Amino acid sequence: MSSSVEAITVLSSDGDEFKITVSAAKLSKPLNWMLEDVCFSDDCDEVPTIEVNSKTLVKVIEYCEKHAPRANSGASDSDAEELKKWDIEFMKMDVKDILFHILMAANYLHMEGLYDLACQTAADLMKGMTVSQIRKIFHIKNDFSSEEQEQLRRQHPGCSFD
Amino acid sequence: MERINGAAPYLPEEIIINILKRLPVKSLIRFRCVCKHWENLFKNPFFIAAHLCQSNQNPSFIFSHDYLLNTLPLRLLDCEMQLRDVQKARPFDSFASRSCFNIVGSSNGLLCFVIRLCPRFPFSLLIWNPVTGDGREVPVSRIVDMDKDHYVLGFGFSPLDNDYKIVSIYGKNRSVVSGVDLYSLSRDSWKEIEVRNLGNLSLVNGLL
Repeated sequence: MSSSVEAITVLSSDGDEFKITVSAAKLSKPLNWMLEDVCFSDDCDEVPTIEVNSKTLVKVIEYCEKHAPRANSGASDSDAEELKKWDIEFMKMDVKDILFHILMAANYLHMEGLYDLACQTAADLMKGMTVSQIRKIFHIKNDFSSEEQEQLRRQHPGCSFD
Repeated sequence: MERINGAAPYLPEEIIINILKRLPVKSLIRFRCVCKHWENLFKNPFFIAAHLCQSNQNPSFIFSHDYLLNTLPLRLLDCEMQLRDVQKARPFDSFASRSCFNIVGSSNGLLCFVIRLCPRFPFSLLIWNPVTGDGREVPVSRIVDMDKDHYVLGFGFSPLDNDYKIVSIYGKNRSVVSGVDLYSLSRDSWKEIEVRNLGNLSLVNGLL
């Protein structure tokens, strides 16, 4: 890879082009391997596709660009603290409606930090949800028969199927 | 999350498990009513181990400030330094309310109690999960003559066979061991172990 290249262009699954700096792309193992294997120079017109939709990819790249300086050089405790606060805000924003897409993307791109953050955010949100809300977001059908529900209610008084 | 609607993607099992293992036990208990698959998943030893590994990052302490069973004076100090009373649950109902208890040991959030009506009475053993409220009374391995015999109890988890065990060492006096019995929670039975030279034993982390 040419050392003069500082940013690469990638395509989302929707076909939109995005720029990502090389140091940010290194946060993802598959992207890092790609950087090592493929020639990225100004005269190279190969544009790799990342199987993540545009809306999600914008957020993933935003996360990578924010975390890249610390990941590549190490940082002080105060930076780590600041980054933690930034993560919380990042997950509070309009991420909520694409949280599951972020989870899939972080898993697919092998980004441990973002994956853990998204899993924890999902778990925290689930704590306040009812059983039927949980079924809806995970596309799960209630497959307990009425007898089985009755039996569980006897074993665990107060348990709710709604 | 309220805005996650029909358009939310189907998550692979691996990701769902990674989210679920981060939930507190209180939520898991509620969510076992979601579907049969989840109900079974929460009982699966691999899931339990993964959940434990995750929650071990936030340890809690349990301690008792009395020994009478009817009040069960147990308190939990959680990772946020909040002190909470532990609620007595059904497994204790089968014991006389005037009984006394001692904690034999704790391991991975399970507690083992020795319960008896008075110090000279034969004892009963109870393994209890204070969070789910589930418990199991363990029959004693042999009749002990409280006037003559000495015994030492220990409780711990064996990672080798993924099982909880109670060890019970009997002796005619403090220095002569007459027998060692081992209880396995998964088999729900005791077996006697051959022990030849038993020197000074001590329990560390519930293990001999």
